[in-house]
Amino acid sequence: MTSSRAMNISFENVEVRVGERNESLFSLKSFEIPSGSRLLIRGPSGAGKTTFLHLIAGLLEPARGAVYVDEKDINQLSEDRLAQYRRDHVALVFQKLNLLNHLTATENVRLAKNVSAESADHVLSQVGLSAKASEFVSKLSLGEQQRVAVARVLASSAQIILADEPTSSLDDKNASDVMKLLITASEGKTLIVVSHDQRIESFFSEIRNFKELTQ
Amino acid sequence: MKAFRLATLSFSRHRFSTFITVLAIALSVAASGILYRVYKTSEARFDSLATGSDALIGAKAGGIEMVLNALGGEGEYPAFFPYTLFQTLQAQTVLTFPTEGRVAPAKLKSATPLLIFAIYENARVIGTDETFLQSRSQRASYALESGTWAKSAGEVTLGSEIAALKGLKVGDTISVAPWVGGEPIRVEHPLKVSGVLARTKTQWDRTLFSSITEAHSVLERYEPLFRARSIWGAKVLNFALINVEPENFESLQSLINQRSVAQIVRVQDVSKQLRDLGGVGADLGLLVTSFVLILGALAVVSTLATRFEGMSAQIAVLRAIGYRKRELVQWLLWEGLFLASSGILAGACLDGLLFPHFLKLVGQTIGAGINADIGLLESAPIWIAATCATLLAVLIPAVRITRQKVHDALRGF
Repeated sequence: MTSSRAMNISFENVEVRVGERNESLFSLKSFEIPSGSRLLIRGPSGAGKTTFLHLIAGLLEPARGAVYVDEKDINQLSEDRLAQYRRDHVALVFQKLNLLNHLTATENVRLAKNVSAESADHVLSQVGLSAKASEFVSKLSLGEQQRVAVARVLASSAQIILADEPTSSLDDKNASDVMKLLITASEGKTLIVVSHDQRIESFFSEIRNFKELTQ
Repeated sequence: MKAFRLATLSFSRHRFSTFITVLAIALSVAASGILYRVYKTSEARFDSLATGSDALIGAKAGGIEMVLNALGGEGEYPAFFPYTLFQTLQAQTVLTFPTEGRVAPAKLKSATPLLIFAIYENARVIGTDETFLQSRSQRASYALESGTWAKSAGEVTLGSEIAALKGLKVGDTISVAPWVGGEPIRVEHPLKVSGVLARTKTQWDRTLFSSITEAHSVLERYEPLFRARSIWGAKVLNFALINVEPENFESLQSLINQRSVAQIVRVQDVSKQLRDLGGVGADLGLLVTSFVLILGALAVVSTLATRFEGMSAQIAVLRAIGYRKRELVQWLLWEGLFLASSGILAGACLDGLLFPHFLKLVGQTIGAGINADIGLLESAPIWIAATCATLLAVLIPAVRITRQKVHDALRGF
């Protein structure tokens, strides 16, 4: 996979099964997310939105079908290649637990691949946290922690940004600030956000219900 | 961020957890190290016995008591037997008994007299002769490191440890306290250092040797003090080191044990008896040491498992952002190594500080007169075992990493 351009993502007859009884969680219609998309996927809790993101990140293998990124089936990649794919091409922002609590903001940003201390401090200043670069993230507010997670996205060279409920735990102001930063970070890249937070819908050109994507 | 850096940050930032883990390792290493060195000290007691000769003659007593006294320097001042008996054996003279008639003593390869006559700085001063140097049956003769063997009156040959401890050399004069039983006599008896015995790694290194003539002259001077214990006056010995062909030992034993006031024992047999007796205690000691180490290892495993289990969410996040399994396993291994090193270093320091005090407490039970210096490095097997145990403890969470389903782990939180 090349790293100099945004990457398109496509699904082909994907079915996900979970649990001890291997029950079907959902089956996706075959569809494509073009490179450079800014997509919000809505849906209630438990619908499978997080699982959907994990499929794209290669954290979960479908029971049936294939997930193509840049026309390559990512589940055919070896363990090491899959890790490299995530490191080089994917940036993840979770609702919580993005960060290692015993590290500072700078050190958390430097968890991304090949990020120097100077680059880390630069992106932290972009998200308005230059004064807190040396603080342990456990001492930061939830909003500040999410901004550190976005800073790590900015510092990485990922072409696919996946965010799972990034604003659900934040107040209105912080939710807005984090979304603005995510939008900035995703310029020229593919941004896929799954959320049931209605406050962020205005940031997206394309909004789909998760149910629409499933069979 | 490299695995090494992740490990150093985790090690230094999780202070309470690190402290508890390092403390658990340190206490386990210290306790095991102390117990192990006590076990080695009791072993050293047997290693330092000067068991080079085939047999030992002494006054009637238990064989173990004789060997420990003569060859280990342990116990009270031993009883006497007549010097004439020794001279007869040495001269291979035919003995005449009123009832049994004439008996030819068994042919001896060598016979060396030993008579304790003084004390110098808690070390025995023994009268003997030059045959001492050839008194080892199967091995090369003892050698002198410097000077000559003490043959003339007023001379003494030092064991190597005595010379080193006191910084003595050939030509120096020392004062010894005459000793014929009971307390040493508070008189300064001068002796001139004629030579130093090369290191033997036995009790002889902590002994001084003078001539048998010197020993007899000291005993003569203080004869009234031991008259009750010797009907032969000052012409006595405590022990004799004997070398004899195995096939001749039985006849010699029959001659000495049944027809004289002395007793002869085969040194090898008594040494084995001693080791067997001590072995039970040693085995128990080793068992306790192993038990303590296993307990400590289990405590470390439990602490480390809890520590790393608590990081499973963080590990899932790191895998989600592209860290390979092997990088995370390397992180755990490095951190395990840091914990092991710190714990072992602290444990070794505790071991070094506490061992002398512990030895003072148990020294009497594991052998009077123990001079063996079991250094801190003897605990090295414990350190290696502790390192292996800690790294093994790291393997448990490491295996869990390789089996972790990141999707499930992230959803679970």
